[in-house]
Amino acid sequence: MATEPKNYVDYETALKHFDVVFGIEVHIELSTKTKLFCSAPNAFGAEPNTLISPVSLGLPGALPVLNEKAVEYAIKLGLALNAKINKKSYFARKNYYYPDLTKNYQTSQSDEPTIGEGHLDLQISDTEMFRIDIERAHLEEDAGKNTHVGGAEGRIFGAQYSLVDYNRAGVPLIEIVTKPVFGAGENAPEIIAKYVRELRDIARTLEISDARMERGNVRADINISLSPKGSGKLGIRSETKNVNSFRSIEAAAHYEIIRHASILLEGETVTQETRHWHEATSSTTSGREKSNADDYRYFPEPNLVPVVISDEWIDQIRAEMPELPAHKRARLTKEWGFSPKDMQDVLNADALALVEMTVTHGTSAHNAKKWWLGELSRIAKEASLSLTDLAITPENVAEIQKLIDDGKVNDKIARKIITDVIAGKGTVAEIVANENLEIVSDDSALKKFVQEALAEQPDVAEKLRNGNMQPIGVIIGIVMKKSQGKADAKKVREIILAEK
Amino acid sequence: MEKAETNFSVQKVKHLADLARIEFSEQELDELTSELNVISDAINKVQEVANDDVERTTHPFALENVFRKDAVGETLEQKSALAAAPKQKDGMFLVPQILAED
Repeated sequence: MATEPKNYVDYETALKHFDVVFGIEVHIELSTKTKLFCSAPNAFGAEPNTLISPVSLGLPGALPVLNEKAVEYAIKLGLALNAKINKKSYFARKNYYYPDLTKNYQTSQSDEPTIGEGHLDLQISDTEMFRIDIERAHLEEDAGKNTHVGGAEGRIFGAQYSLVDYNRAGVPLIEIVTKPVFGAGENAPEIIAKYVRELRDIARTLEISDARMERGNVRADINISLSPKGSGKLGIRSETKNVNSFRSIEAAAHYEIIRHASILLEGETVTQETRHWHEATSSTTSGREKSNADDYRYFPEPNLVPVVISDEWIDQIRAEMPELPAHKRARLTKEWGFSPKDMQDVLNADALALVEMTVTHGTSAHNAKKWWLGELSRIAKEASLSLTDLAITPENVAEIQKLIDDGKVNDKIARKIITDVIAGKGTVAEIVANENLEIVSDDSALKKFVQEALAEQPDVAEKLRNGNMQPIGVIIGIVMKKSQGKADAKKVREIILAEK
Repeated sequence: MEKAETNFSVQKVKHLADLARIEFSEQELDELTSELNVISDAINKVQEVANDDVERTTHPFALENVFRKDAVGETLEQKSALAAAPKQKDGMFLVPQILAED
């Protein structure tokens, strides 16, 4: 058995010899106001151990009571995943010892989860769909958060002690488990990332989670195994835990495929284990062996009664379902006159909601895309922020574009306004007024600048008069300078032609 | 209906005890093993008459859907949450070095 190969083959070689089989477990933290089994707040970023109750601390005698909203959210997600909503489901105790778990068991669901089999279809090219079959989705509570102190870079190994904050303990999670997925071939890493992204988008659309990857609202565990090409046999799997960006998900799957193939081609057997992803080195390292450690001794939770879901409840939720992301993308692509690539670019930039809201505020889709994928992406990248974290709203962007459309500012000034809004210098209107940024469109002022420029450049003026338009840029440049960049170049050109 | 585990071996009981972090003497293990076998035999006796038309019972009361509205209630203060902690630091519970990950 081996955890690391002696040499790594390349991706193509791996795919030439093996079929990839994968399974994905995604945990989504629900955005209910309170926890799954008690009324302590479900919130991010509070002082440690302040969002807790006797139930979240697992104090003796504290009894759980199920949050109805969490069940409603599970049903919503189940409907979005074309899944069977089980009429009757139960909670169970999953027993294991770890300091982030106050009761020494996690309250979860075992053989009768709330959501049963379903599927999600992913668009993998303009014409092709790929179906991911879902095994189940169950409700469970999140654990607390350990901070390991004393080890290298906060890692557990070599840590002297750990500090535990139970604010997250009891936060509702839905874990969505796929069936083993075959036939993705070389696109497996991309499809895995796409699947997690689609779940993220669905969770956001349903408003059941903030679904922020960087906050761990969505966490993916990726199971990979390889089987000899065409054999149809399931290989031994590894499970890469808690990879929390789409890019890392793709990279981790890619890495694991290569690692497995390399071990197998050396005639070794892959060790069944968990793996940990490291962003810095783009590689995984061995976690713990999984063979017999998973003895969780599930048993029914005696303090919680069965959840019974009526058809009426399901129908009521179904009636309130919003438009799902896949449908919306198809509709907007058409409405906006986008090519599939245009839409893909917007999606890759995670800018669909921003572009859509900008369009709602009156900007054309083309211009909205231009700002968010151009200037604003550049600024965000420079500041290492995501687009949504920029201190500018789609409404602001729409206002600025309107100033351009109305001929009140030019493109260059618009960029300056954007920078100023983000720098917190005020609203768009304030910035335009305070800094006197509106374009000089007063004909007499521009005319004066043009006359001055022509007088300063008699040679150029002469050429223009003789019909040689080539040096017209020189005059435009001087006028722009005189107007401090606020002149509309097109208008200046018209005036020069009249005044030469 | 699923059968209960029969023929608990001493080894099996020891394994379960290890998982539950409970230390038993050999004599205690022997006693527990025979007691567990008596219990599982009794359960299996019941299973014989419980056909598939008998729904599983995980709770003594015939209750379902006991829900709570999603409204924030009282919380513990950090000070009282940590009051019984043997060790604490920076508002958190301080626990000894953890050896195995996840």
